[in-house]
Amino acid sequence: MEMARNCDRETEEAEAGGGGRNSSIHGDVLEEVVSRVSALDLLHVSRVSRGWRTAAISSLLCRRRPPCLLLRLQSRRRASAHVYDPISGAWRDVPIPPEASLHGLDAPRVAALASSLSGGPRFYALSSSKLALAADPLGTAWRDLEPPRCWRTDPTVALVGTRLVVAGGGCALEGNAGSVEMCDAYGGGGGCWWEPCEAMPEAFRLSPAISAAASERRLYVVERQPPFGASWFDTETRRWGPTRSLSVPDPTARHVAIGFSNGRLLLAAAGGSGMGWGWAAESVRVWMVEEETLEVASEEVVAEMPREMVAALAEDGGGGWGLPSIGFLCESDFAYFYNPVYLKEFFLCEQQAAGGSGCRWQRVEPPACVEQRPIDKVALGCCQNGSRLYKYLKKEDKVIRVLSLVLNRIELIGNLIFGSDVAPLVLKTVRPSGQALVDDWVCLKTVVQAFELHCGSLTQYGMKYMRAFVNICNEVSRRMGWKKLVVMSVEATTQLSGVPLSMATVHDLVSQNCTSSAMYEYRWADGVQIKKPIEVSAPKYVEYLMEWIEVQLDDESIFPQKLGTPFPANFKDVVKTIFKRLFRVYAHIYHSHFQKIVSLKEEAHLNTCFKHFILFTYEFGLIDKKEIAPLQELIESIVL
Amino acid sequence: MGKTIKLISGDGEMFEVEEAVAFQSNIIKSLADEDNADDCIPLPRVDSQILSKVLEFCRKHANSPSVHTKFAAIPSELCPKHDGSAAGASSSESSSAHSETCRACYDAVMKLVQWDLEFVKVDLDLIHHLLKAANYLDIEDLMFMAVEGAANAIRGNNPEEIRKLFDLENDFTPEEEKEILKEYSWLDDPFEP
Repeated sequence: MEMARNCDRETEEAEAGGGGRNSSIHGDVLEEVVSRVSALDLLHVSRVSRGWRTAAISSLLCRRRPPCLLLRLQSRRRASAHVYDPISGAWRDVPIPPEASLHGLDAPRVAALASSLSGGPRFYALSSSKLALAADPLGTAWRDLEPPRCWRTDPTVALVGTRLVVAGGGCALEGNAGSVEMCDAYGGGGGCWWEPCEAMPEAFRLSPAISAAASERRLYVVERQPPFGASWFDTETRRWGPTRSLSVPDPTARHVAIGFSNGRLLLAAAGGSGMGWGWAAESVRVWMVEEETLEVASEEVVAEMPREMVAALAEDGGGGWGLPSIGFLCESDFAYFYNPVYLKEFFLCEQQAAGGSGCRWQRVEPPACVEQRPIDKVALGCCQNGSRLYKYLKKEDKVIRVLSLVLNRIELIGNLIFGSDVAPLVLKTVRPSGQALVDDWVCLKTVVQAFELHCGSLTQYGMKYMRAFVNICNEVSRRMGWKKLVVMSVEATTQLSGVPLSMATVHDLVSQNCTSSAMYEYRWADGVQIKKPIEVSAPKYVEYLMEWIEVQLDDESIFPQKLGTPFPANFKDVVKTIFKRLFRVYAHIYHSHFQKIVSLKEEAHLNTCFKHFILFTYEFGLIDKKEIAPLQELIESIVL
Repeated sequence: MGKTIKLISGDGEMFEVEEAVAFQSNIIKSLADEDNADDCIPLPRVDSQILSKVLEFCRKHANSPSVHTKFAAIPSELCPKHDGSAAGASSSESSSAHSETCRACYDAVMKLVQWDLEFVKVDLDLIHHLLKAANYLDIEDLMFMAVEGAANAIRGNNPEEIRKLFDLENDFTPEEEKEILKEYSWLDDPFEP
């Protein structure tokens, strides 16, 4: 029986493979191979052939992506920002508009802040009269805030949830040493009101070098040098927790740094040998720290840097200082290490997630500009490659975005049918060999056809997700009447994902031909930038709407990109608003531009789209009856 | 020594190896669990040349299974320095912790990794066969290293060279090629805003 099973597996693979004498390298194996090569090689891989391109792209998508490294240089004369994309292995310069560069004689000091928001700012700018938070991860735009009441230099600044905490730093006034202030950086109303809170514990008031990390609720601080005093500040209770010396498992440790990622507090420590000035770094290790009691979990070393890399980290060009302190930036399962004083190289560490322990390490060259700058003008951060950074990393991500749209639509379908808690499991199930792969081939073909009809061709990229389709079909045919539900949910994705594309044509149409704009008034407000409804012409309304929908679709908190992330509680309300506005566009087209559509012979297409749109909104109750009134007759005539 | 297993390759040659060596293959392990009275397991899809290479790999890894999938996990009872005196060392977490702190284990693992890297510095044909064999016999570590060997062949080569090495056809249409090149044009123009 086993032998028969093996034979089946072999033939299955041989049939599924394509091209070349080496049919063994295809599918999952090819993806494994491709995921081992560096990013630059990946570019070459994706140009070899179609099958390889598929493998390259899906390995990019399905493997975890390391975060980008952000680097900002400030000098008197100018400022520059650079982003390192580990996938392509290249640094990119990011242009900074002149008003955002913040250089000059009384320029505020730009520094990195610890932040728990995944797409949020990584830098802040502080001077005696000014405080600004970067509006995007890199600081190409700034949000001005009221500076805190107590002026200080080099404070510890962190964004804990949406609250900005400024603690310690050098204060001119004795009584203010160690003062802590907190404000809601993203509250409404523009200004931010600083609340004084319990002052920092005694140990931190003399402002030794401090390493800070932020979780959703707490700010953790640790002294970088022995005795490694540590404490946390809770933004809800506005109080400090217990202060203690961290018991670093390595007794030779001289420098530590902390970071918070993936819900864990991590401690990086550099240990070595030698005494006093003769101390030389020999090891860099990372441990987990318990959040409440600040106990270091010494049994398990989360990561250990290879020795050659530690030597390179401590490389100081002969100055004799070795490793004066350790730079540690962490995000999800990755971390960057660097020598903050002699910024020669970065070291990227990836933790193995697939059940094993141990890490993979990689060296990263700094950008050319860093060599010439004095180091204290450099601010560093790291940021998961959220949609905010897409516009800097442009083209190669376009491909990934396309693919992630496909994946997103499939997840949306799965979520609509099975509910978001069960869906990821269903989509990824693999049947044990021996069972039939697909219960109902007709169902599968229908679903794929329906998907392709409404959501665009699957293309060779989307074939990867055939397993998800199969699982959907199998589950659905097992559980419930499948036809109606599958078709409805496929249309959901048409409506939501295909909208920007079809709306683009609508926009062109409307803006070219709209002469009736004077007769109808459209009011647009999106509640974020435009709060009070403003009067706009029809083309403008469509344009605003298009942009706004694109923003919604890009917003990962509403339309999550990652498998398994749940949809927000107000998801239906968001969808209802989108559909209400889309309906108005349909109404406008039917009222004002129908003749043009007929002359283009597109009325059948328009009617079909509209019919699906209306059926879907009826099914899920997305638009109120009074909104639909303008097209009531049309609806009754089209919809049977 | 321990019990031995007899394996018969596709072209009829017989190999006799210890259990610890053969059982790294999950397939062989599950086949041997069945009632094979004569302990002879036929492997029709694996040639004797490939099988001998596979067994060479397995012999080297007999004492340290899953080195690559579970990094540095030498069970401490097999540590060359200690003699099993470490307490409760059966779980993989304590094994890895042991290996991280025990210098002897760490060195042994590093040596093994070096040996593995040399092992896969062979020509691509053999790598393909090893991949197939590792897949068929379900040997995790061999799969890991064979994949590494294939990746070695890709690194540093441009698409044309990769196609030659792997004997692949360029099935893009000229328009598609142009599109792809456009997508990566930013590589040449780093200051494009």
